[in-house]
Amino acid sequence: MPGPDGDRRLLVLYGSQTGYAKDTAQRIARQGWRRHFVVQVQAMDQADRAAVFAATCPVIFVCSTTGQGDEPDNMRRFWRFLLRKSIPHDALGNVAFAVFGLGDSSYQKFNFAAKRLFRRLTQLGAQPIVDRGDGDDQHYLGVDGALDPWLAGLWAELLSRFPLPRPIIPDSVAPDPSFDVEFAAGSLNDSNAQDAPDPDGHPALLVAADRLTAAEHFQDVRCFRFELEAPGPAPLWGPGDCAVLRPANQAQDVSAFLAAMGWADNADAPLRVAARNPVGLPERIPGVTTLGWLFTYYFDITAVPRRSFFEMLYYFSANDDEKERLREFSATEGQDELHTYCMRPRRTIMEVLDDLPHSRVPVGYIFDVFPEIAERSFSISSAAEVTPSLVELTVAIVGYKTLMHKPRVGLCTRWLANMPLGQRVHLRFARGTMQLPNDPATPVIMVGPGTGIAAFMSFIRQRRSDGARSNYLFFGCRGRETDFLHQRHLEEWVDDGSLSLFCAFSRDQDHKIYVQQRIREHGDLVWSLIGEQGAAVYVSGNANRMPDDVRQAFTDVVREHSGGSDESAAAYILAMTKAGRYQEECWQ
Amino acid sequence: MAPKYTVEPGQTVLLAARASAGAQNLDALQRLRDSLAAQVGSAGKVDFEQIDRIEDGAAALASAYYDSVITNPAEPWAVEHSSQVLASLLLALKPSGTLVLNELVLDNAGSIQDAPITRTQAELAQQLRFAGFVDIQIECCEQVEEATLRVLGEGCWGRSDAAALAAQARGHVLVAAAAAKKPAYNVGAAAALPFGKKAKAQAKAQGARRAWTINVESDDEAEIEDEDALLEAEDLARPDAASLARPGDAKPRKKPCKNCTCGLADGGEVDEDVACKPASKPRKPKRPVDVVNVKSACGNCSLGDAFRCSSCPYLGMPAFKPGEKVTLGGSMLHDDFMP
Repeated sequence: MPGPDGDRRLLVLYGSQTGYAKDTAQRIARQGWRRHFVVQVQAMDQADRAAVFAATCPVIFVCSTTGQGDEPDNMRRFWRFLLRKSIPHDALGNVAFAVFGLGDSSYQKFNFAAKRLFRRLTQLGAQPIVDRGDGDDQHYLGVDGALDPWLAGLWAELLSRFPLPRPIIPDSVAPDPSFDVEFAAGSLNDSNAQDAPDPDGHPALLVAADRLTAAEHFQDVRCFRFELEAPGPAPLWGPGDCAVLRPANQAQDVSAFLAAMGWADNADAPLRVAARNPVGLPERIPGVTTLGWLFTYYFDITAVPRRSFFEMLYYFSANDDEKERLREFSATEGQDELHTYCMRPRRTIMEVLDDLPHSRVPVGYIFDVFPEIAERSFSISSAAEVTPSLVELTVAIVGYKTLMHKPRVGLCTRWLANMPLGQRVHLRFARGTMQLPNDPATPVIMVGPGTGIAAFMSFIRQRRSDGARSNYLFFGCRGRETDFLHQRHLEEWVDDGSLSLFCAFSRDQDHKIYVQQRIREHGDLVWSLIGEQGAAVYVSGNANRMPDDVRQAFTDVVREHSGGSDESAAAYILAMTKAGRYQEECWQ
Repeated sequence: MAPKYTVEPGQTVLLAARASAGAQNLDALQRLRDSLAAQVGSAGKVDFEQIDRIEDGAAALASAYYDSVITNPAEPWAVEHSSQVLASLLLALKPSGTLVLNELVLDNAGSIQDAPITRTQAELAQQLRFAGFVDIQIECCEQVEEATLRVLGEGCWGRSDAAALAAQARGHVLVAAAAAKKPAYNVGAAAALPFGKKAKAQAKAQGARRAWTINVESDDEAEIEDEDALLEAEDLARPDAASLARPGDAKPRKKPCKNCTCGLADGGEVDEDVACKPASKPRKPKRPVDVVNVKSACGNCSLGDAFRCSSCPYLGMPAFKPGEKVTLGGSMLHDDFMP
């Protein structure tokens, strides 16, 4: 509903992989608020596409580029949509826009996602308000080196189109909270449900949680089995698809947190939450809830806070030393130090608040300060057509050391690891990016070191069920006796002839052996499969260097057996990729 | 044929049919084509295409091009539209474009043996839905006369027993007249504020630009542009070292990688000419045995990492009171789960 500033609207859309671009988008929104704009911030994939195309207010895009030069996950669908050939080239003719990219020029594909976005938007007739900004981690000021001047230019241009009705609200004034949050009278009946209701989720019970790696091995990889309570007649997922889970915080962390915040006595008091702007309440937040519920199921208190957290906490600090530190951590010149203090050691929100005991967030601002618990996706290892109610996940429990004395753990994997058998969860299903070939006669080559094998377990199970027996798996891990995941099943399938298995155990001998070596060693077979039998190749696992090394191995095999050059072999693999015969699904 | 097909001036129209001497429909189709051309006028366009050429892809219809597609309009309505043809027609239509389709249907399933007409009205509607059309309306008011059925049998289906077939089918075959649309997205009641009236000068002239609507619901395999072709030469460039350095530095100070393991991140001295090699394990700071007598250079050791200096031996540990034994399990830290 337009108020006195009815015409002053901005839409900020972000594509963010690690949260950096999202945080930047929210900072831009707050700057817009200070200039009396009504700003809406959304991930690109969540935006109402027709509203974007019909936008009568400026649209600001903020997007990062992943290490491999790709778009972040939460703008993939929007980007694919924007690329459609059927969109007329004047479709965005009335849309004013700006693009800022967060990137790192030590990568060859520096800010490619933002650059492509900018080109496509102009191709569709959109009108740039300012030049594209290319944030660069390698700048001495980091991304801010480009962001600060870009924002100055952006506001100058926007304020010339939308002159200020009143003076800019200075940085010393805390921004308005996004929601009205107040304690209500009375008490709630049955306020703390065991689990958050999820209309999209399929209820399932945890029936098994077996460790796949040897007890003395440093990495704990588990096989979690969930039994769907109402699987229904049709398969709920296909091979290569993912189960999506939303974890909760551990009960003792929640109690400790509420106590440290001074909220322990009010943990179960009813809390009324109402939206202050037309966007409304996020779906997951009930209108009446409690702090206990919110900090168990909604807010991520073990997250590593971002710059905005420190900016906001500043307004609520009752101690001069802490205030000054918070101000330093919020400033452009302090970002290196903030990174050293917080991001590199993966310090959690709880730990930061422990360091700053006089800086406490009021209840009214919790939605502006604490991040939301994000869903996590896991490739499903079971095949729905074989075991329709069994969802099996192969999960490495996250734990590692930084300079923090207390080891770091993953929120979701810890939640799974601590989950008692019989507990109910709500699963969603999401399509994976890898698709099996339609024809069961097509040979399939899978390269899945470590937990990359998870999706391939469902591939192989589906293929066996379809009578497709031309299955080749290159698996790598550290040792045959330590982390040979799913060894028993794989060896059974080798024995019955439905799988050819090539293993690389990197630490079982003096020199390291990885999957890419095995691919080269079996070059004759690999060439016969891809060059003569039209095989499809799938690569899955931890990103870093593995996908490139594997691709290079296939390229070398092609080069040697086709008698061509490096260039022609690389072109061959590229053609396979474009035809969908070489697919990768790797994660950071 | 009475011109019951109306189109607007300026529209692009596709007329599709199985025109043949055997079907005895050439005159009727020509008259219809003339009528449509007259209605759209010089600003519009009427294209004719044989259904068979659409079926096998020879027609190469332009995507999202036609305001209206009229198919199989004339006796004897010889076309049974395959899913391939319907998909091609959908693609050729502009979003929100209209389809006017005729097809012979049976009054109920299986009432004629051995004839190319196999669908009922309900099945035709379903086929249109599967093809992606919306707002489907079908009426069947006309029963096909025996004479028409015989023309179909002889001239189109090549049946030697056309007369007998026509006699058997008489009364069971209806002409389904279907109207449908290509999906569009309805922007709906969201109040679209007028773009800052002061900024009107910057907006492109509206002119004859049609309000464009799009199918935003379906995310499946639509044809997309090649994203790699979007980048221009200047997009491939990367900034040079001098532009990234602090003014006064010759080149930028080497920054540690986000997941540095070579020691640069921990403040160690690293030879800049040596590439970052992964160390076996990150250096762990030494743990003081005794925290009762805290020897602090800066006086901040007890305050927590936010205030400690970078060489503080207590880095990584929570805040504590000087003289107090430091234990894990302070205010918020619990050893509930050791990886």
